[in-house]
Amino acid sequence: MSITTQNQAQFNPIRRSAMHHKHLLLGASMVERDGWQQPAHFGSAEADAKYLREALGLCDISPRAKFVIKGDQVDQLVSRVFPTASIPDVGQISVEANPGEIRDANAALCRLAQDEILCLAPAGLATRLTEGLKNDSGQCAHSLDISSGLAGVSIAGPQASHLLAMLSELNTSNVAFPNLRCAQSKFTDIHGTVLRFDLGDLPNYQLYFGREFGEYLWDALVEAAGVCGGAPVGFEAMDQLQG
Amino acid sequence: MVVAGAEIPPPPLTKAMANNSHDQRLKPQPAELIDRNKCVEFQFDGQRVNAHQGDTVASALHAAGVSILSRGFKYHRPRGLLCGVGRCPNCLVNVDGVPNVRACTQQVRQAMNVQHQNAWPSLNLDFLSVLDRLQWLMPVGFYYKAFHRPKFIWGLAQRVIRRIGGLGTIDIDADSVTNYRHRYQHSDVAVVGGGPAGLAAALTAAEQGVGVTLVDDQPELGGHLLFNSRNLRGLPDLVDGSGPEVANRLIQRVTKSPHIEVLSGATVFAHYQDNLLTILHGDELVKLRARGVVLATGAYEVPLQFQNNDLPGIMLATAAQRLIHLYAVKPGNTAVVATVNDQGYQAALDLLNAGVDVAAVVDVRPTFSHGLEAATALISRGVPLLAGHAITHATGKKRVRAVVVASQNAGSPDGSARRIACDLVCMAGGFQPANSLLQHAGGSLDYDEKSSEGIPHDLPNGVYVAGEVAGVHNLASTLLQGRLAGLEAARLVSGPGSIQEEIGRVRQRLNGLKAEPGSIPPSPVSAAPVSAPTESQVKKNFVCFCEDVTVKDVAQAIQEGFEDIQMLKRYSTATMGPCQGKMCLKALVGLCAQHTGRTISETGGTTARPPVQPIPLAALAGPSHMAVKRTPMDQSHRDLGASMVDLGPWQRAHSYGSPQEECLAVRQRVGIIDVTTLGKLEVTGRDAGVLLDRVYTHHFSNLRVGRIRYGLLCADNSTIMDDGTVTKLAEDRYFVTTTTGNVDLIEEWFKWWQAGTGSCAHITNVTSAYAAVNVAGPRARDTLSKLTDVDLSEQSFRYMRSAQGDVAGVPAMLLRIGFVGETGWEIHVPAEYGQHIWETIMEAGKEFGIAPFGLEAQRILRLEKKHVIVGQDTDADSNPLDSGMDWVVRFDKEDFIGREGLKLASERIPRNKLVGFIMQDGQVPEDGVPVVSGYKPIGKVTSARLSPTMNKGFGLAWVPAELAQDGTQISVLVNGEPRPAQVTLQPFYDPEGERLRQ
Repeated sequence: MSITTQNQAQFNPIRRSAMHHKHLLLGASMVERDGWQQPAHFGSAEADAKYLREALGLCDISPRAKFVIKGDQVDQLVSRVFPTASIPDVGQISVEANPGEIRDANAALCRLAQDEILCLAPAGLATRLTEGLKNDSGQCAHSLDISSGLAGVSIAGPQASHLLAMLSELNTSNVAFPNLRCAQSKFTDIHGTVLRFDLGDLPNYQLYFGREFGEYLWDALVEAAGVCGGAPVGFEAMDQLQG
Repeated sequence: MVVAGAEIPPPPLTKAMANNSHDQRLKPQPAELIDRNKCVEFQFDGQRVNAHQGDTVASALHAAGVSILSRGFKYHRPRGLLCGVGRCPNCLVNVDGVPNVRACTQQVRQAMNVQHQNAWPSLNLDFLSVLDRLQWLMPVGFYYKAFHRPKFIWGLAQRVIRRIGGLGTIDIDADSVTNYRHRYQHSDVAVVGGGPAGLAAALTAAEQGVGVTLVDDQPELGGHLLFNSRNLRGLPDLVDGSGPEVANRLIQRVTKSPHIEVLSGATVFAHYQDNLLTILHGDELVKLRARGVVLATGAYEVPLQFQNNDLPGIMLATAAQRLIHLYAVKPGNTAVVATVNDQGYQAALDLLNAGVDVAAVVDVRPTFSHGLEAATALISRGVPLLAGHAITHATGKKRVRAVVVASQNAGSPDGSARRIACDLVCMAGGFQPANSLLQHAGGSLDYDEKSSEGIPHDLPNGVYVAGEVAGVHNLASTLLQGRLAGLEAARLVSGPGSIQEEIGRVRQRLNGLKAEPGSIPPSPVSAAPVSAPTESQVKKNFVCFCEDVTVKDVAQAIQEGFEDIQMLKRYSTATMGPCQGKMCLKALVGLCAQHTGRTISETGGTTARPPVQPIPLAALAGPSHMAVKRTPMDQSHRDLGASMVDLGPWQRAHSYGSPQEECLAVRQRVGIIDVTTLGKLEVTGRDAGVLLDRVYTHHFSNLRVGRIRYGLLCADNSTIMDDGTVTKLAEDRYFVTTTTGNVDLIEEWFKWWQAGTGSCAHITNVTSAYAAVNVAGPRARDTLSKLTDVDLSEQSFRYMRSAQGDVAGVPAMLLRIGFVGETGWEIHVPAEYGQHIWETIMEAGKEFGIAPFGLEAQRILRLEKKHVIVGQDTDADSNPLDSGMDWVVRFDKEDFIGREGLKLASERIPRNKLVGFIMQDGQVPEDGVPVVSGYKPIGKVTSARLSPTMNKGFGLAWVPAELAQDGTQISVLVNGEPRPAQVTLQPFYDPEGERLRQ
């Protein structure tokens, strides 16, 4: 929603992810970051990092900015906004650091279909992306901020692919689904989009799905993670991995 | 030597067999699966049983001298081990509270609790075995023809049958009930079956560098090689050796291969489209998708038909071989081996080597295979071989004590019967290829008269067969065929290349092997027909061990007209039990052919459907995940004590106490309701308006920015599909709401009508993106004015207008609309602010007496306004004209979906119309009750409630068009009695809509 915010100080609005109450139940240490209440860790960042290195960790990444860009002339719009970006083929992702019109951004362009691209960026860049993606050229391409509509979970660690195999028919093996690939599938009967962004050598899948299923899918993920020896982790451990 | 006519003296039954207390464990066997250094103790019906690790429950019980494992389904006759490999129903037991576990494949665990089932009070003394003497009461299909007269009998009989029928009981309190998981797996090639053909296929495919998943339902790979004690010679590319030695060499190569993943003890129970295999592997259900599938599922040995062929101690020859070689258990002391092929001779030799006295080998064929090594060895050791003979019946009560053998004359006994005492009968009744998975995949079979087997032909794409399932029983050919199948499957993945040449070479070798006389050892399954039973033989001569269907039952069913094999199956229930025809299909088809005078090919077979093996429902269900949608305010509703209900997948607040009080709060003060579940679409693009004009009955392209219009969608047959509001946010951007349950359908509907038009319009489902509340009531403006700078005054913010601004510090979209008929705003905010906006409005409204209201209050309030809920007040036949919504249909538009149908409808007199009604006597009808004339239904109430405003029952109803006049008296059925009501065409509350617009 491209509406400017005012009077925030008076009302102190709190942004909560769909899994907010689940995090509280699991003992997360919640802090505010980018205007969102987010789990910093579930016990300690060190313990979280151990899960990530040895099995897998689930990190709530719902705050990330998400835009869908649709239209026959989607390539032209993207090229204008990200002039140095390579336009990915369907099922592939290109990562654009410091794109031309949006300085300091680190945006990922995920092509879901010939006429549809999902653009992901850090939460703080949502407003700037909204402006940047406005299309007044008359071309048939439109962007929409769907940040609020999609919940996101990062599934990172050596067992990440095994966990996804418990939830989805999608083949997420290294051969069939290497780094910087994206796909849409069903995850425990819920439609979702999965993107592979490895953290160095560590497999890392970002799963995005309808916010209303947040608690349901989180429970399923946590249950499956338990089978794989994994657990929820906070953003601190993820930040460590991302350097 | 062929003995004819000699009487064999019966050996005395040992005391050990009589009291089931003897240890039948043999000295170590070369291929045994048990670990003698590890002892396991478990309980069987409260008695301690000692076993070794690697034992199955059945092998351990046999070693302990227990021969009765279960009771028959219908007659409660004692049953013992039959197949020994998890195919038949004879050893079903309850393990740690889980019923219908096959004792012959369930490995023992320390302290496991095994109990019998289907017998009372015990296996040895089952009172229900009286049914064995009441066969006359229960002929085939008895439930269609017995116990029906006098009528009251059936009710009683039904209860009794249900009480004693079924297999096992589920203990819902058992702690050990497995929580099954589901997992998806992908593989280049899947090989089903870990016997020689499967091993060869897996190895060959892996050698080509493709990934292979090898699935076998036994705990150890190797298949029948593991209990084949013959010295195998002349195998392609393999050193001579015994079966276990050959198996071990293959298994070692499989284990070392980095390209092969082995799933042992895993049952493939279905083969679906596009090579999707479903596999039960321990507590995991694996859905394996492969590009190529090699089916090397082997064949099932089947029993023979003779009277009392179900007595404990009568088992398949391979079951006895498994007991000996894999578990080092002596299956009996004195055996008779009945065979239709050469297989029985090797089994007899194995028995002899295990210390079992073989009283005779009874071969139904006129002559046995001369030159057969096993036969020669048996003769040299003095075992009588009775060619041209068959067992006509067995005797014994709780275990076989003797068999009667008669010479065969053209397939029937000739009267020269003799009795042979024994405590073990091994039946080598031939093989039935395990081709169910192939049939699932769409493969077809041709019946081969020579081998009495269905041979696969016309294989589906990506499916290959090898070994016994393909009718090949010769080991050398099996290995080559496995290799060929592995190559062909690998070719699918890596393309022809050099594989093509290798395929040609293997084919050549396989053909050479077939062509060269004498190069293939005699088939172990040379064909022989199932002996034809005579009338004297047919009493308790079982065809189907699962359902206790006898030869006599089958004959009678056919006599009653059930000649078609499919109908015969359904009527007799043969092949419909836990074995799914593995033990009985061949015999059933043979009997059907025999009694109807048709060939086997003409008779056909039954249809193989998933699952091949019984699978626990819990495994199919998997983890208890039920997709639930929650709004961002879900926790707030629960904190307020809301009673939550499922509305489709959504969890919604039904009420927070009294719906009537909630209604009054909205009418008199201010109420707030969570309407996040509304379907929401954004339609963008320069042609967005054109698209909306096409799909809605009203105009939208001419809507001004900031305005809202009610929209009705019709299907192409002009019936009502959905409704909602359309808000124009910008020249090229519309915000559309739909009913809660229809948003996905409408999104697809829009896309369907947009596709291929070449116009520029994009549809995005934003239901998840917005949390939404409706704040309504005379004090709604007061409440919201505390939270926003947006001018909410009547003059500035008029009805059916929208605005964007901050509410409670949150960017919001405000829509001045009202479903409940009061001044109100629908406020949409980014979903992450949902809980914040709810709690802040509740706080702001405190001074005005704000109350949350739920779904039930909303339904009452909208009903008072006579607002229709699509799907509740309309059905699949309702069109807008009959539903009183003709005001929203614009025939002045050139076209819209459903226009032509509506045009026609407008030119004829409608049969029924949707009207409002008010009850005249204080009654409140239920939704769905009829409108009646006398007691004759003439219409239907769609919604009815007690109005808190009028304090009367009221609602909406479909009535004949002639009654659809203001003030008409109608009758509504309440508690079975017609009650007076009056038709009203106007809204019940604020008919002019003044309160809405204030």
